[in-house]
Amino acid sequence: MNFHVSYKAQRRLLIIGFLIIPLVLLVTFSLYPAIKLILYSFTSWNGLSTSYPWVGLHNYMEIFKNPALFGVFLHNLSYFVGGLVQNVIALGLALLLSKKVKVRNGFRSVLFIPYMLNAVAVVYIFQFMYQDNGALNTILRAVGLGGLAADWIGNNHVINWALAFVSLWEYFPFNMVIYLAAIQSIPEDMYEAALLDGASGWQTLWYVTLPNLRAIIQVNLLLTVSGALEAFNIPFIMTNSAPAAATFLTQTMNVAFVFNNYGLASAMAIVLLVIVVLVISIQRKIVGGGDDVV
Amino acid sequence: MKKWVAVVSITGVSALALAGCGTQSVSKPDTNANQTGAASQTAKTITVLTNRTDMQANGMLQKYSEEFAKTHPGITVKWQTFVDNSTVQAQMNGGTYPDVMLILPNITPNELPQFFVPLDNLGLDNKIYFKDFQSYNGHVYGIPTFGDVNGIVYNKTAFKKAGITSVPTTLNEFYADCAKLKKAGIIPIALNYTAKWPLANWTDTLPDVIAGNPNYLNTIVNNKAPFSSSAPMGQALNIVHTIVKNGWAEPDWKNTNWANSKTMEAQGKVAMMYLGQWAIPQIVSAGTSSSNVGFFPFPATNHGKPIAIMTPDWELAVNKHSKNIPAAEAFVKWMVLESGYPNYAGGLPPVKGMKSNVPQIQQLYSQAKVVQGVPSTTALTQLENNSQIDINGGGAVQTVLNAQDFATALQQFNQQWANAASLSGQ
Repeated sequence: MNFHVSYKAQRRLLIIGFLIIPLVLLVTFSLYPAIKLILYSFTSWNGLSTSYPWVGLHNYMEIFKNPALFGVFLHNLSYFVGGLVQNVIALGLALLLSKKVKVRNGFRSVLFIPYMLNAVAVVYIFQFMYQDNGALNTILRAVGLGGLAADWIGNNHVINWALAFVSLWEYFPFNMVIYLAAIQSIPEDMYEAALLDGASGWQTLWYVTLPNLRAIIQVNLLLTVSGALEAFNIPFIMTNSAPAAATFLTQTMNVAFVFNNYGLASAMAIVLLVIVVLVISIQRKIVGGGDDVV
Repeated sequence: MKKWVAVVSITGVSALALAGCGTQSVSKPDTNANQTGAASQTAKTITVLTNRTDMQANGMLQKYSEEFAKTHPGITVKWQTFVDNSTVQAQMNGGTYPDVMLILPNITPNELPQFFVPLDNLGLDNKIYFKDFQSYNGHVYGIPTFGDVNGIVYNKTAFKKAGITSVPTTLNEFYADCAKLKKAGIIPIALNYTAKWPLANWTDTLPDVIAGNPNYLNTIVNNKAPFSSSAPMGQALNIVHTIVKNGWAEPDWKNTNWANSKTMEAQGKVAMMYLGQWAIPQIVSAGTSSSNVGFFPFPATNHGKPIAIMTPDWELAVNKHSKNIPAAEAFVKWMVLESGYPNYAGGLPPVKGMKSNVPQIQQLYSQAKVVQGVPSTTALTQLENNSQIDINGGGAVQTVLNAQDFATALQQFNQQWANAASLSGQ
């Protein structure tokens, strides 16, 4: 019993064999829903009915015409600013921790804790902290900074920054770990060469460390930007998507599950996707970096 | 990681939630129905949908299954609990959903025949209230599990402490009592802004009460400016706005906790909440005696006896595609007539002549003209959805309370309403 299968055919069989399962999964759970999503975005489907009335581009026009839908991107802005600060903090801490600091591993573990905590629990913790007589205001008043105490959730000018801070606190350790890993993978000889050339600490940072981190900064910024545009779990859990804290994604949820307009909600999901892609392309142009990491 | 969270939320959650449920409903082959008809002696299993996760946890549901099996041998009842309507909705769209269903609030009357069998022949017609609440073209599709009536649930000790001897019967008295309570260091009324759903009464019941007409909300589809301050809806929003403006709500009213509110009312730190009778047992179990909790109709106007509107809570329906329609129907009948669930839930029994075991209901009845509610028309639901004004879920109240200027917020609502009306008119 000799199977005369050529090497080429064997290879093809193997490739198909290995690819079939991931491809089926990809098509079923990613491509098919995505295509359906696009199709729904042109209908006024109510999520239940068996009829899918075609409305053309009406949903897309509605998104840009209705300030209640598109205007909430202003709230996302605070998450974006928070994300930038988050990256600066993460990079700074990573630089510190890459040096020979005492109990370095201890610091690393402690700083990584916020990221390991249950995300929902984190939001609840902050919900209590932000209460009028919660921990934050109590501490501020106790140390004589009572003037800074605020109605963190109640004040419309403060709430989104307060929520963005939760996001910052929760996610900076992740950025930090990535930066740390990247810093440690920079070859030691580059630093030695710089040292021989008489470079100062700042020069080493500016001309050796940061250029080597460019690709990683790019990755982290991408995560930050898309995370900011898609901020969802914090306003959803903390305020139940109240109007003052609504983000584009919580509005999408509202449109779908409160107002039963799945067509419009699908269009919003597509618009969000397009915006994320656009913003990331712009960011790549600005930050530069030729490597195709992302 | 954030990226993956994000990517999952786009392609995964939205796409799955929005798109995954898009399969056409497959009608079951007729052979199934014939087979079950012939083999009626064999064991049958029906699945029943319920929102009472608490009753699954405490074993009550299992007890109901056992009780039902005693009188209906051969029928096994399995329960499916849910917390989020959208998961059930996805099942319905996919065509496979429990045999005994609850009618989701967003199903409009014209959609009922698509999903459920008519229940005209259960023989309940004259025995129950709200019999045609969920009906279309003269057929009944839903049987209420129990009825609700809304009013102010109050702590009697708190009232006494503030020197209030009798419950307010006019709006002015109500405001005066709020001021007295505040002076006594008690939070006059908890709104539960964060939970959102407790705000719904202010827009989906109070306007009817102000108008003295349980059908009032249905008529606003023909009103170009139902949110004007002179219209009942505008007046209702003005009442809740007045409460917040005068500091009669929770001091931290935008950051509230529902479970906490119940405890605070039980302890007398909060005096009132505008809810349904179902909240009374919950507040009692949060730490007070039943005799300390009272219930009175919302004194919505300054003249005459207020009306109190009885409305059905969740309604039971039978899946059109069920293989065991007779068994499911028998269960619906049993649940309404024999299970004792209405009283367990602290609701008004839907069966005429059956007594409620919530003593406070008598107090409310003695002070109000009790009328039966009217179901929302398809037109009203559609206009709400198109204008994106959340009258039924409390979102509209949140928007108004959150707005910088009350009058502008009402104007904005009127405009949204008029725009949506003109679109649907085309």
